Amino acid sequence: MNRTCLLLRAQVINYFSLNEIKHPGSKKNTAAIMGVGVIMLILFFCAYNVLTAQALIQMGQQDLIPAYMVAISSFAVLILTILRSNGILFGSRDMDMLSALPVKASEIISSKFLFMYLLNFLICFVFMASGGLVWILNTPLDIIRSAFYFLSMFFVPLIPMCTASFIGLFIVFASSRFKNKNVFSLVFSFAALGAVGYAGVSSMQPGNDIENLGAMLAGQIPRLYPLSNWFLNQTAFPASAGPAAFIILSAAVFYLFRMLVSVKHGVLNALAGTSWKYTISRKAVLKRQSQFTALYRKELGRFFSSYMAVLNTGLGVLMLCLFSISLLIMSPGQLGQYIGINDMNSFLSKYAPVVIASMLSLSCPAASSISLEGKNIWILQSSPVSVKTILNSKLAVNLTLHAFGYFLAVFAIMARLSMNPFQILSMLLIPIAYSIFTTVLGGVLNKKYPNYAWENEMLVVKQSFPVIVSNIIGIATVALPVLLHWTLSIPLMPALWGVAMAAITASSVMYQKTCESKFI
Amino acid sequence: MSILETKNLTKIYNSKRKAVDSLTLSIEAGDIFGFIGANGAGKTTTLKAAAGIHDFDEGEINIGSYSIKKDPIACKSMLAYIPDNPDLYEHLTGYQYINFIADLYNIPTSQRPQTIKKYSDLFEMTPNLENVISSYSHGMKQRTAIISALVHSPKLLILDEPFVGLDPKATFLLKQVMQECVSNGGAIFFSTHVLDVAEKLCNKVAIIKAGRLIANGPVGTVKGNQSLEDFFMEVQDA
Repeated sequence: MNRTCLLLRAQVINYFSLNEIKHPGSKKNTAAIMGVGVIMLILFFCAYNVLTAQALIQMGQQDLIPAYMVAISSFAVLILTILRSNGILFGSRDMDMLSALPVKASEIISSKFLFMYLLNFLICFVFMASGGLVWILNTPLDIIRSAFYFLSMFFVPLIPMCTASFIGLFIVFASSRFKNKNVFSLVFSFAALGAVGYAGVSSMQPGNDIENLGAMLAGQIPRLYPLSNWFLNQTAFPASAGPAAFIILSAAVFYLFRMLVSVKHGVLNALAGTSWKYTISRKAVLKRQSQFTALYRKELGRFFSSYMAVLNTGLGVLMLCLFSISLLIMSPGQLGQYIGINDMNSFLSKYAPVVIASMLSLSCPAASSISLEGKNIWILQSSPVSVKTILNSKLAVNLTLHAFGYFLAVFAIMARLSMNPFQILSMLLIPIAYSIFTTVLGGVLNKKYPNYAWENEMLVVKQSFPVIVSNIIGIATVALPVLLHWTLSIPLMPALWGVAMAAITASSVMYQKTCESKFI
Repeated sequence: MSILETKNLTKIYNSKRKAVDSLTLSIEAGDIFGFIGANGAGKTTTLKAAAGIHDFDEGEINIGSYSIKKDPIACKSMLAYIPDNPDLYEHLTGYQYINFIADLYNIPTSQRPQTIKKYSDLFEMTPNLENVISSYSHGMKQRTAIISALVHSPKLLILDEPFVGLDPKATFLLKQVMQECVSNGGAIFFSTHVLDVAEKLCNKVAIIKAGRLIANGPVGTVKGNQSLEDFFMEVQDA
């Protein structure tokens, strides 16, 4: 086995805690629950893609399926890699150890890229395999074109990965020039995400020309991802020429990017590592604070000093803030036209609690806050502070973050829409119930399943068991009343209130039970 | 008077491996108690259980008159723990970290400046406390951890390999601080692999092997006529 594969194997074992899972009685239950969650997520996306592909077939646009699947999976890889490339490629804690080993920088980079590739390949596989099967079963058999399509599945993640990593590199480089590097890293990252998101949404602007739906979609898909154009049926070239060219280009771009990063990796890693280290030195005011205040302030500082934590766990609140600001700037009608909702006023009057609650459910720093203590956990464990106080401080940071999004959203919606008193009351109270539920659930799960032995923050911030499970349950709790309304025609507001009451009750039980614990 | 008492302490990992097996110890006011054992013998597990960091399966641990299982907060208020590799909050400055610890121990504002100054001057950390901890060397982090441990004048200091990473001067100063603590009626419970230090510094030692206590008592009684190192090698090979 060559050294790149050895490094990759070590990363995979470490990342997925494979040895601990194999070990009897250790993390097997956690792995089983997480496995079920991941399989459910994969099945959900497969079902969604199959339905989308079938819809295209019903419209007579089956030839658009390959391009559509390539565009959508590339876009997903791009967005997800922007959020985590810096955590994997640069600034991970194992870099010092790896640099001391007799391995080349290019081998370290290759192993890290391959690791990122494995995760992204899974995304492409879920999108492209399910959609591709529907396409093959519903079109005249073209073996070469089909073979190229499935072969390209291995290459589709490469260019979005390189693009996202390049954006990540730019963020590392640009923010390193400022004193408050973290703040600038976050501003640049959110700006990059916003720009990519804006490009995606504007490229998919709905049209009204139903008769020329094929032409409209054929125009939209390449706008979302220009290279997907090569998967559309071209008359000038053989059908397989586009995918073949795509494969060659992807491999070439990946090779060049890997070479570039290998050469400058030492410098970039140092820049990433210093991004939060050198804050302004100042003498602390030796003023007494309560235990809760001291922990809360420490926790808030810790949260905002972690670029990775803010970027990943603050995304839901940021989206809510962007939505609210857009609503304040544009008229509801304009905003509705922009995001494809015909009657924004009546939509928001009805769904405002759901919109706010769903965004808040996506932001749950509490689910990784205990794990993020990492090797510092001994400080809290040996201090005379109750589990309740520690937990409260972590939950309070989560609720503070939610409060920003919540107040802005409530203000924007109330300022722009006319709602009846019951709708206003629902909008005010239901998101609070969901916010408390998401926060408590995340905190409790992290208390029960902490991981202090991480090498990279991203491992606990984005892919840890408490984070994934709390996100899935949070979203499912928001989706439940909506699904009940759509499928069983149960009125939305009573369903929302019912689930919100249940969520608050569950939060109270979970919180009280966790606070009884004597050891953090 | 017993400051730390463990009775039949047992800690089991992964439902089968006994890391500590029926350990009974008593540390009294004025004791500098050295805890000796090979790697993996159960020293850190015992120290962490005594500091209330993790739970244990059987037995009791009492700090003063409090049980660590029933009243961990009261126990922890009386002690300070310093691990072998003190990972501190790197985004804080030294001052901010020490002040944070002082907040957790509810130290009055009036008491803080002189205590912090006393120990930061002693460990020559005063000029560095305004810098963020991430810029510190290993030894500086350890000194900061020691200062923060002393800020609430603990009755019991639990130290895991305290001399690793300290330069000779800091080692000397730490020994001085340990002596000062016991002369004020406190006690020290620390693990070490440096048997010379244990022999010279401690009045009592305990030797642990594979989780079981194999020797315990005043240094002279434990080692007899031979050196502590010779005695340790003898019991290890037995």
